[in-house]
Order: sequence, then structure tokens, then C-alpha cells
Amino acid sequence: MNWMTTIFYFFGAITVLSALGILFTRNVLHATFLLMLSFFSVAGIYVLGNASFIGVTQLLIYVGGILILMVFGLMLTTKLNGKALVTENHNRLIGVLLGTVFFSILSYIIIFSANFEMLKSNKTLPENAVEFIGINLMSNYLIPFEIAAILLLVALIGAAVISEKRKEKQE
Amino acid sequence: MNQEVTILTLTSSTQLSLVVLFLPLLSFVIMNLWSKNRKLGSYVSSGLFFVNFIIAVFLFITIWNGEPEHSRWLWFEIGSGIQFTSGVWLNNLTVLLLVLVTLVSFMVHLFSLEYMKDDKAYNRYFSFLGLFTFSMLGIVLSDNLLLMFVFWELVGFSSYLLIGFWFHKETAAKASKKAFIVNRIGDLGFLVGLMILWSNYNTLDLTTLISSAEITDPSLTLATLCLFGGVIGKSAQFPLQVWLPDAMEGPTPVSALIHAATMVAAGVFLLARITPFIPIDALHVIALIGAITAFMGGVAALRQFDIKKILAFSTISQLGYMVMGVGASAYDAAIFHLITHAFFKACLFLSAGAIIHSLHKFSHDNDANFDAQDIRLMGGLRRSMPFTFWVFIVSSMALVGVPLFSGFLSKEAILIASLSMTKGWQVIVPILGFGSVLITAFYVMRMLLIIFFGENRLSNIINTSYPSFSKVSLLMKIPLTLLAFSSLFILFSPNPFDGSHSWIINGLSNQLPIEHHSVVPAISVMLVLLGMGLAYAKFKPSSKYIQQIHSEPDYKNLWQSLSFNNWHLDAIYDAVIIRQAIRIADGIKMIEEKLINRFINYFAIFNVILAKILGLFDRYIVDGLVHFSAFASNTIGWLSKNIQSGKAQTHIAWAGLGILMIIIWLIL
Amino acid sequence: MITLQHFLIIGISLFSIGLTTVIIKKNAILVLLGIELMLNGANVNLIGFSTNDPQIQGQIFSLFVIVVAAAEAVVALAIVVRVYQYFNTSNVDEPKELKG
Repeated sequence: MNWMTTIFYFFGAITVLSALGILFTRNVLHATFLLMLSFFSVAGIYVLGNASFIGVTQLLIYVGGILILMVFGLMLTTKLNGKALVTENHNRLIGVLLGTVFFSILSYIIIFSANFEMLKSNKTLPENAVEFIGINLMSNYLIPFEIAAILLLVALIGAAVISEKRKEKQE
Repeated sequence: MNQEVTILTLTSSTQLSLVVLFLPLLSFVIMNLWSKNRKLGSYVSSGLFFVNFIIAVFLFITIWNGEPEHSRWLWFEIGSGIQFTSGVWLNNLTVLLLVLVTLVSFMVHLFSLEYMKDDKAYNRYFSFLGLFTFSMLGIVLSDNLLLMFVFWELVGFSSYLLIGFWFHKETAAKASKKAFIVNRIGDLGFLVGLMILWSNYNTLDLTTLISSAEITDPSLTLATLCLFGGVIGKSAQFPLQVWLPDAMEGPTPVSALIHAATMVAAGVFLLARITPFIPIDALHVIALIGAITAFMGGVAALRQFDIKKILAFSTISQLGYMVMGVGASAYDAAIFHLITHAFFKACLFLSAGAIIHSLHKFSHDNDANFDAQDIRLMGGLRRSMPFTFWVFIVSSMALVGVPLFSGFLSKEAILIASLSMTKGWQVIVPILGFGSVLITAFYVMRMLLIIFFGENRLSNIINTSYPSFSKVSLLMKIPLTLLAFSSLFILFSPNPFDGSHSWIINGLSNQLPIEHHSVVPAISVMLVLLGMGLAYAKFKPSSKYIQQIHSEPDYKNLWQSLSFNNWHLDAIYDAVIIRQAIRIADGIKMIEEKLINRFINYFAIFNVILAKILGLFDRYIVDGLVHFSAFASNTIGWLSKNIQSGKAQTHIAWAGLGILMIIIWLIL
Repeated sequence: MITLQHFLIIGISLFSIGLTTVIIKKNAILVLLGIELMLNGANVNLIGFSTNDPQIQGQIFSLFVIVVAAAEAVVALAIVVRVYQYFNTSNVDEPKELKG
């Protein structure tokens, strides 16, 4: 058990625990910050999986973008009156049951049933992953890249249109 | 004898001719789409017709006396090998008629802009004109009889629409129905003729028919006579001419376009197209019918008091001349007369329209209620409407056949041709032809004297000072002037006394030109002078007759009654055909009531009893099943309703369960 | 050595927890958090598989997943804000107009 594995277990534990925290806490704000913690450690896992570029992207977009957005959304949709913001659960039985069954079946498959040996290869990963990704994005994956750009634009406009205040709806 | 159909590709000229064909249809569509905008719509359609006329003139210059152009393509195929073609055949005859139709249509459009100005359904009127012109051009252009028949029917239909244009007037609605039904009778003949031709020659294509038909074939006589039936209907020949006088219920420009210049000429055009394969026996029948029609129409025009009726009967008479010309195997002369007649008769109708328009406006302005078409109330219009007077004089001189006018040239050509028929009973044809010249001169002179000379008689029935009429507007003057100019000889022949060397006759006939007679023109001029003199003696402004004409009854004795009522043809048809048809219908109705209805009643009672039994079966057995299944599905629905809670998260949970099931199914 | 199974277990844990969150939470924001967790679980899987791939297709694909997640979050939040303005609540079970 070398130091990399140790760090991996550390990050994995933080990820799963904070995710569980999101599930169990009733305070919405806590949940949001726990999600941030979870995302941080997922980024760490990416770095350990030889994907440092994705890790950095994760930090930039999730932590820097989406989470901030979530917090804003939270503020816009609650009446803050000094009390802690709590939420309630429902559908508890079916939700927990489904989650547990999912987890157990899939981990059973992963640990005992699936055979990943043939995936093993001796080829080395690219030296400079960022350069490789950049070149590939602009050549082999150009069309998905462009479509993603259009998707972002559409989402931007769509969000603006949806959240625009319409006079006739205000009663 | 299945002939292989040869396809002839489009040339630039035939393509242009298709443009000419479809521009009026475009006008029809536009006028219907923009039916709200009065000004724009009508000017657009007039513009389209002008463009159409220009293209037609261009085509005329290209084709006239040149090579005929023919395009043909496969139209449709029945079974295997029975092929119908359609196509465009441009020769001298076609382009001549093309120019005529587009020119007269354009003139009538111009005239109508003013004439119909105050009508509510202004755009409907112009759209119908477009539809009519489209169909007429279709007749002219099509290269086979079936396609021609289609357009023939379309022409009849648009004529029906236009006669009944003021359909809220009961007389107009009745007249349009009458015209349509009488035309159908003739068209039945046309259709039968088509069938005979098809069964004998397996083609309806004109060029193929002309080259392959055996002129001695007895069935051909029958077929052409059947086709002539269609002509009798459309060109108002005896015995089906009864619809044309009634068709005058339509707007006057329509009468000018359809019932004088173009549509009624379609019959003569058809005869001219098929004339190469009409057997000689059929030609004699055609000539006889034409002569009878010319005479009867002329006689009927003698004692009319409605200005449009006079013109209508004179049209019938002139159409009789044309048909007689074809029958005397001089279709070139007939077409020549068709052209000249189209111009001067359109001009006559349009100037009559101008008179009616003014009088109508006058009656409207003065709150006087009188018939604006009754010549007994006119008189002295020479002074109040000088322009119309001169135009009317020019075109009626052409109608009478006075030298120096176009009608003289063409009528002489027909009369000369009719002289070839002198054997046995055939001699009646030239006799009736010359007799009609006298009659024409008489009734035209009578009309002129009563309408334009003497004192105005309106003051006899309404208390006004001397009536003043509104001026004829410029939009009306342009077509009138052009058409009146076309009624002079100069457009057709350099020699005002000899029509046999006219360029139209030279361009149409492939036989030797008709020999020039000097006797025939002399006789006919004498007859014209005699007729006009007789008319002057009777109807001169100072005569006793004219002095009391405003109180003249419709007819006084048998002869006048015969003329006024168009030989009582309507009454005869009513007694002989319509009453009998109604009696037969009554008989059929009685059989139906007594026999068929009783049977149906018993059948119905039987059905009711059966239904009662079935009803019991239904209620207890079928309904029971239905009720049970409804109950079952209700229960199942109630059970499954809870899944559909309407909450997004429940849906997600069910979706997750579904995925889980798929996973389990995959790993097992 | 970190094996593939390690990544996959982390991924499946995140996915299951996210799914449960989506189903049981009432607050729409928390439902969104759950969706993000599920997407992250998928991403961890992709990264895990791409450790054995010299073409690192998994990494590139996860980039696109992140992009889609961002777009989805933006639109979803806009909808939540609208729903809040309209129904005056951010709980997902209260607007019942979807129910037929």
C-alpha cells in the first residue's frame, strides 16, 4: 500500500462521506458546501487517475461555476428570515431502497462478476495529456466540440428567456 | 391497329404559347387571392392581358405563313398501350385565333374597368374573365379533340358563371342554367363523336386524324355530324340557338367577349380544325343548318325592342353564315368572317354597353325606373352621344356588309362559296344566304334609325327636360376606337371590293383562291340598298310608326309574334320536350311511390322487427360483456393510477426501477 | 496500485447517492445537487476506464459531460427560479399541474 493508494482512499472516503452528508443533512446550505467538498475530492481522484487536466476543469467549472450558481439559485428561491434553511424528505422508502439495490448490484458486478483483464494494456499514456487533448479536440472531436459550443449558447439564451420576468404573469 | 405515339418536344414557340395559355389562369388566381383590393387587382389583370396580347402578336409574327409548330407529350395511359396525348399545335389558324382572343379579351378588360366600376363583385368579374380566356385559349391551342373537349366544357362553365354573374336576378340565374343545359345537349353529340372517332382510328390527335382518316368512311360522316352537334350547341345553331338571346342577361362586356366574339366562334373554329376530314354529305348538312340559322336569326332580329337581343339574334345569324361557309367547303372564308365579325360585333356590343351604361346611370340619377335596354325609349342619341354614334355606325355598316367595311369582304367570300351548291335541294342554301343579307340590312337600319335619329322619347314617360347623358370615358373610348378601326376594310384587304385576295384567306387556304365574282357583290350591294331603303321608308323619323313607337306593343300579328318570340322555339321546346320530360318524370315518380316505396316500407317493417330481436340480444349479451370489460379496466386503472402521481420524482424512481430491471436482465 | 475497481466503486457510490438524493429530497436545489452527483459518478467511471487507454478517449468524453452538466445546471436553475416566481415555492412536489 503505497502513498498514492493512501491518498486515493483518503479522497474516496471524503467524496463518499460528503455525498452521504448531502443525503442526510436537512440544511440546504450545508448540503451545498458538502457538495463542494465532494467535488474537490473528486478532482483529486481525477489527478490520481492521470487526468490532471480534467481535475483542473472540474475545479474550474464545478466548484467555480456550477456551485456558485447553485448558491445563487438557493438565495433567489428562499425567503431568508433568520432561520436555518431546511428541507424535508419524502418517498424515503422507495428512494433508499432503489439506491441501495443499485449500489449492491453494481458493486457485486464490479467486484465479483466483471472481468477487466482484457482492458489491461502495456501501452503508455500520452506524455503531455493537455496537448494531446487539445490537438484531439481540434481535429478528431471537432464536430462534438462545435456542437457543445452551440449547446452552451442555446442554454445561455434559453436560461435568459426562461427566467425573464414577464409582466402578464405577475398577479 | 395500335399506333405508336410519337412525342414531339417543346420548341420555343410552343413554350411561349403555353405562357399565353396560363397567364389568364394566373390572373384568375390572383384575382381570387386578392379579392379585397379592387384597384390593384383589376389593373394587374388588365396588365397581364396586355402582356398576353403582346406575346400572342409575337407568336403570330413567328408562325404566320411559316412552318407550323407542333409539340406533343404523353398525357395519360389506360392499361397498357392505350395512350392519350396532349399537346400544342401552332399553325396559321391557331395564331390568328390567338391574337383575336387575346386582343378582344384585352379590349373587353379595358372597357370593363369603367363599365363595372360600381359593381360590388368587381374582382369576381375579372377573375371569371381570366378563367374564360384561359379556357378559350385552351381550345385554340390544343392539338387533339379530347383536350379540346375538356377546354370546351370549361368554356361552357365559365360562360355559365358569367351569364349568371348577377345571380340575384332571377332571369339571369335562369338564363345561365338554360345556356348550360342547352350546351350540354350539344356536348353530348361532341362526346359521342369522340367515341366513334376513337373506336375507328384509336387516336384523337388532329394531325394524325387528318392524315389517316379515310374520307369515304361512312362512320366518319356520323362522327363528324356528332361533333357538329357540339358546334350546334356552342355556336347557337338551329335548333339549339335558344340559349344565346337569354345569355344577354350577363354584363354587356361579357356579351361582347363571349357571346359575340370568341366563345360562340369556338364552334366554327372546331369545324375549321376538323374540316380536312369532313365527308361531303356531312358538309351539306352543315351548310343547310348554317343557312337556316342565318335566316331564322335574321328574321328573329326584325321585331326586337331590346338592343342586346337585336345584337344577339344578329350574332346567331352571322354565326349561321360562318357555319354555312364551312359547309360550302370554304372554311377560310368562314374564319375570315369569324375574325371580322368578332371585331365589329364586339364593337357593337361595347357601344351598346356604353349606351346602356349612360342610360342606366341616368335612370339612377333621376330616380326614374325604366328599362335601359329598350330601344323604344331611346331615339335621338346621335346628338347626345356623338362618339358612340359614329362607332356604332361604322361597326353596323360592317355588319350589314356595305363596301369599304370588313364585313363586306368576308360575307362576299362566303356567298361566293355558297354558289357552288346548286344541285337539287342544295339551292336553298344560297337563296337563304342572300335573303339574310336583305334581312340584315333591314333590321340594322331599323335599329340605327330608332336608336340614334329622331327625337328623344324618354321625355314621353318621365317628366324631365331634355335628358343629358354622361360622357363616355376615355377607358371606354380606347377599345371602341380600336375595334371600330378594325371594322374597316383596310386591315384585311387592299382592295375594298374584293375579299378573295385578303391575306387571311391566302394564309388559311391551301387550295386555289376563290375566283373573283363581280355579280355576287353587285347583287348583295343591291340587296343591302333595298333593305336599307325599305327600313328607311318605314322607320324614318317623320313616319307614323316612329311617332307612336313608345306605345308600340311587343307584337301585333302572327308574323311579328313569330319574330319577336324567335319562331316560338322556346314555347315549342317547352311543349314538346320539357312538358313531356316532366310528364315522364311524374310517371316515374308515381311508379316510385306506388311500387318501390311500398316494397321499401315492408322491408323497413321487417327490419324493425329484426332490429328489436337484435336489440334484446345486444342488451343482455353483448352489453353484458362490454360492461364487464369496462368494470375490469376501471379496476385495473384504479390500481395503476397511483403510479402516475404527477410528481417528477416518482417518475424518476420508476425510471430507475426500469433501468435496474434491465441491468438484472442483462447479468442473468 | 490503484485498480480500475477502485474508481468504479467510487463512481457507483456517487451515482447511487445522487439517485437517492434526487428521489427523496423535496427542495428543487437539492434535486439538482443530486443530478450533479450522478453526473460526477459517471465522470469518475470515464476517468477510471481511460487510465488504460492510450487514446484517453474517456477524458475527452468527460470534458463533454462537464459541458453538458454546466448547460443543464444553468437551464434547470432558470426553471427553478421561474417556478419559484410562479408558485412561490421551490419544492418540487407542490406544483402539481403536470398531473393529468
